[in-house]
Amino acid sequence: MLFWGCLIVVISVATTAAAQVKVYLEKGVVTLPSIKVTGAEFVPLTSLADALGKPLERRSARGSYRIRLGESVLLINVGSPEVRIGTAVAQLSVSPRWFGGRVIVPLELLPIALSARYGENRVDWDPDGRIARISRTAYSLRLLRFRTYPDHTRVVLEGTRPHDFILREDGVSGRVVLDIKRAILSPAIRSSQVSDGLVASIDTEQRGADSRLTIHGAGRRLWSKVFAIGGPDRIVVDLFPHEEQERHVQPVETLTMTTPGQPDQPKPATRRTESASSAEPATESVVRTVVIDPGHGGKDPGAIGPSGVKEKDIVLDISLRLKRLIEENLAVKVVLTRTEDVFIPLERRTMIANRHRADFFISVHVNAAPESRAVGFETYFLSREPSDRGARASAVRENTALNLEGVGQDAQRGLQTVLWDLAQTFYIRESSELAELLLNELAQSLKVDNRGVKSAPFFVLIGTAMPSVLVEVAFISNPQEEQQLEQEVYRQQVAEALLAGITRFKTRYEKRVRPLPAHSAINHPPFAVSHHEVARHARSGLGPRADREEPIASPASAR
Amino acid sequence: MRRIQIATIWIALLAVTVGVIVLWGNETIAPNQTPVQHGASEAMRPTVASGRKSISLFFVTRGGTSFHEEAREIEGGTTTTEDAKQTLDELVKGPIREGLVLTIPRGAKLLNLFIDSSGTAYVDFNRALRDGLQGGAQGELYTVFSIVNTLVSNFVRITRVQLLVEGAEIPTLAGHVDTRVALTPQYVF
Repeated sequence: MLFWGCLIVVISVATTAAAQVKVYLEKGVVTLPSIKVTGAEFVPLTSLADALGKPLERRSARGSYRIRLGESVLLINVGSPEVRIGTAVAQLSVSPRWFGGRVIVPLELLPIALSARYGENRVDWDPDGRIARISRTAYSLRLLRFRTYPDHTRVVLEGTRPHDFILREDGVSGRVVLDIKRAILSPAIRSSQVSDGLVASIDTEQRGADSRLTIHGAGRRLWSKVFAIGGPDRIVVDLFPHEEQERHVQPVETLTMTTPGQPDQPKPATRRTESASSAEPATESVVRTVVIDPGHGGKDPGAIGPSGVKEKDIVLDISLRLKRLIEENLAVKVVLTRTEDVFIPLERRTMIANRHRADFFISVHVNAAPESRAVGFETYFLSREPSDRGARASAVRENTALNLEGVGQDAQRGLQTVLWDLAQTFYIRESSELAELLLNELAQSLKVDNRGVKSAPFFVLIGTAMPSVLVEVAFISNPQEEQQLEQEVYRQQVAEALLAGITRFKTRYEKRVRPLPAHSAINHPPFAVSHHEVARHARSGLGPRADREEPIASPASAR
Repeated sequence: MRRIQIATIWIALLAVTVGVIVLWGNETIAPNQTPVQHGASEAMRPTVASGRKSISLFFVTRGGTSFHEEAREIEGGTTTTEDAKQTLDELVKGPIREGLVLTIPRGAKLLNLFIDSSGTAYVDFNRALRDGLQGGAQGELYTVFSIVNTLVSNFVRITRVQLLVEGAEIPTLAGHVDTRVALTPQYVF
């Protein structure tokens, strides 16, 4: 008895049976038993061959196996994490191995092998549900994304190849409908809530062999512009509030079919109108709008002090006080991301700042640390690139406005990257100065620890097309600071210190970015970017206007 | 007397059986312990030798002013992935030295870890990593970067870390740090 008990214990320590994995083929289901060995999950190689619907061939007694997948061959060697698929090599995190007299392979090989067998576009692998589905037809639209800019919202649909599409605007309902011909939506594309003040939501629908994207306006009539670009193939829809339309001269078309791959068409005559209208008189104040973001709110209380004081309440009160102070003293418009106890997603806060073309953005927070001794205030700015290299390249392509007469496409692309980098450098430099000025004023006013200017990859600072900082005014986890934050006088003192910092920054900033006299701008060579231009781009977030991308076809528009 | 004899025989039998199982087990996993696979990517290549290894863990000093490293030993596995998992398990256990504070919320548990060929470690925790956080930016920064710094500073094959909760990417743990992308280490805040 004792012996068998020990035997069972010894075996069960080494392996555990994990949940089954199911592969839904066009006809039938293959269930793969899964085994966990030393933390990694495996499936038997014979079951993998069943899921692939192909026989398993043993090439040598030392554990070399082959499965012919039609066009390519899958080669597996026991003990080697390298799996060869045709001419490609896939690296696994653990090697296929022997187990109880049979070969088992890591579960991560399943989606790789299925993609090689049935085509990547047909495999939908759900690692959580442990289900793989092989769809009958390959999808050709793989990703839907959107972004809010100061004057419009951009919806981008990424495909695996170019598509034909038609855009229709429904003036009455405020909807914009994009029909894409012979296009299958990836299961990853789902209807999305946008709620950025212009677009309410985006619905997706598979209609036989075609796909439909319905963009619902948030109670306003929309007008739109659509075009296709390559690398990767994308359909870009820009949505503007209807009242903006007159600012953009558009060809009158209600329906446009775009044939992908066409050479660039001449640009619509919007650029000059736009440029002319956005030129600012030199005498105007540069800083016009400031967005203050009281952190957290609603279901997200933020940090909670030892006696129950909530960060969301404290920062809202300080922000409301700051708004009043700025409006009274600086004649600058102040927009709060929330004025009451509501939950606002982080992306939305950034969108609000961009939408209002804020000159700078301040997110107000109260700190907390695992240890109650932590005390003091600090300011943060974002120091890293907002995204990885791929996303950055995409951002450059989508967001940079630069049209230089007589400059070739490649050179333009290079210059766009330079301008983008210039703007990023500009934001970082200005943000760090704003962070420092706010910190200095807090240090003068509050007699607590000055923890300094720091940088961190904070979500709310990423994507703001302007100098932006996050202020931590105190540690609510410290009982003494929590008590102070509860006092109205202290909160007012914090707001006044922040006002002083903003005032100093505004003065310095305006001196730096004030528009150059007209004659000096004219004398610049066509590709010289003046300091003012960078500042102007910074304020508009390099925000795309009607002419930011190179349309492959003439933009669709209505009315 | 007879009982003692029977018991002795049982114990001997058990010892032999366990020995056989261990040997059999070793034999079956032997292919996994073969020397480095030529051509394997850096991230997936087995570490040179198994056995105990020295690692250092990032905890925060009392008062929350800075990171402080604590040396520890792990059993060590045959791959970087196994070593990295053991290292994070040690981080979750917390500091031994006085004056240091645990950065990972109580109840947080590493579910899985995977390193891709570009050097990104995907670190999957249970939801306690998010739900157990106190809510402040400082605490969140130390939680996120104690994981990132520990992995990147101990394993040359790991260059950045993507946090996952219950197998999915999350925008942020407590509303401050952006965890949508893989993070590189940051040692000072």
